[in-house]
Amino acid sequence: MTNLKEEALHLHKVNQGKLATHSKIPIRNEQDLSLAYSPGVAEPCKAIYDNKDAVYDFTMKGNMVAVVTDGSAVLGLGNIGPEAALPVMEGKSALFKGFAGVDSFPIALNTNDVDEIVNTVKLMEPTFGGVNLEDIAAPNCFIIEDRLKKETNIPIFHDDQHGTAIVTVAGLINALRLSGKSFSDIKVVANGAGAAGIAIIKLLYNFGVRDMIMCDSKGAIFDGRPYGMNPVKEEVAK
Amino acid sequence: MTNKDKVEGPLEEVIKETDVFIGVSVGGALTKEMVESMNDDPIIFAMANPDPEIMPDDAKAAGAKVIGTGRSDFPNQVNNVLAFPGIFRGALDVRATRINERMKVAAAEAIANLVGDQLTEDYVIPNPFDPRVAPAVASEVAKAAMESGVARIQVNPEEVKRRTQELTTIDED
Repeated sequence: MTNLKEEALHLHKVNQGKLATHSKIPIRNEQDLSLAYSPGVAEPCKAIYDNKDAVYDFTMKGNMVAVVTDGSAVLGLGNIGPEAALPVMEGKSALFKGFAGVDSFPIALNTNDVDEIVNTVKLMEPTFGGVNLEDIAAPNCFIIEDRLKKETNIPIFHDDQHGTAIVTVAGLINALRLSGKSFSDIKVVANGAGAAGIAIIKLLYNFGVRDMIMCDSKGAIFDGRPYGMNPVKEEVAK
Repeated sequence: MTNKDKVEGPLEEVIKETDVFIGVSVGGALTKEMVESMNDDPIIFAMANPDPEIMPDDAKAAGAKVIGTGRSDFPNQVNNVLAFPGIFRGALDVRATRINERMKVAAAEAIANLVGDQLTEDYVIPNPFDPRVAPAVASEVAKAAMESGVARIQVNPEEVKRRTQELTTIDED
């Protein structure tokens, strides 16, 4: 373990992080410059001005995801802030590229304010084909995701919620095959009402599970519980 | 959505006679006694990191049929990397306007189906480095996006799969 820690620190230090930008078009001479930049670049600009959807044809947007965090719930480390969260976001981008050829850019924001985060991401919409929200604490993560889904026209995906939920449910599909039970018959208890727990409950509901109880550190969550509630817990208890 | 009978009480009470435990809480939150109080062949996903709610050996000893954790040193690792690369690949390839519930369901089914007839108690989730995963997820997510009306363009899901196979750089185990 000590070895892994030292090696990880060394790897990040010698490379000064994990990401760099890469131009798909090499810039070697005057001709390259006039095609990639002025004056040639005006042609795709005009094409997109005439038809905004052409931005997907002539720019990186269609393969570019923003990996957005406020550093408020990073791994098991907690609220460590945007700078300290950046290595995780760079790592996420490396995985996006390595596993599926998805380009992405880490964006660590210097605010925990819901309105500021929502507005910032909305203003970045022209540049990105999608947004992966990462390591943002509950319950803000739910509000931010809900608002961005309503107020933008690109995919918004909070991976800590849905990534975990999707893989858990995938495992459960097969586990149920082994035990000969079905989603509509099972009783489920979920412990932990953070981002992942809530998303798992919602996805299980979509798979037909109707008998579920969610617990937090104060025990079973029920409609009208007078202590330790938030809007999302109220919603799943309805 | 949950707890329609408004049951009150701590975990050790409400877990009795349930079939599935999903843990996204803290290490050690689930005891062997609690697992023993569940219905036959209980299924446990204990995903607290780095220490799961219950260690796999303890869960098995208490009667668990299947146990999954967040850790790579035990079977059935729940790892997000099985989902997010393929989901965004599929969403981007159809220029989706959103990632909706249909797409999430399609992703979960695509991941589950790759296990196929190799299914055992210790293999309910593919390995994170299984090179089939992202291509399968991408094509099924693209298909679900088109079918649910959130795709800006129509594509051939088989083409999405083939292209994702070319793009992935992970090594086969």
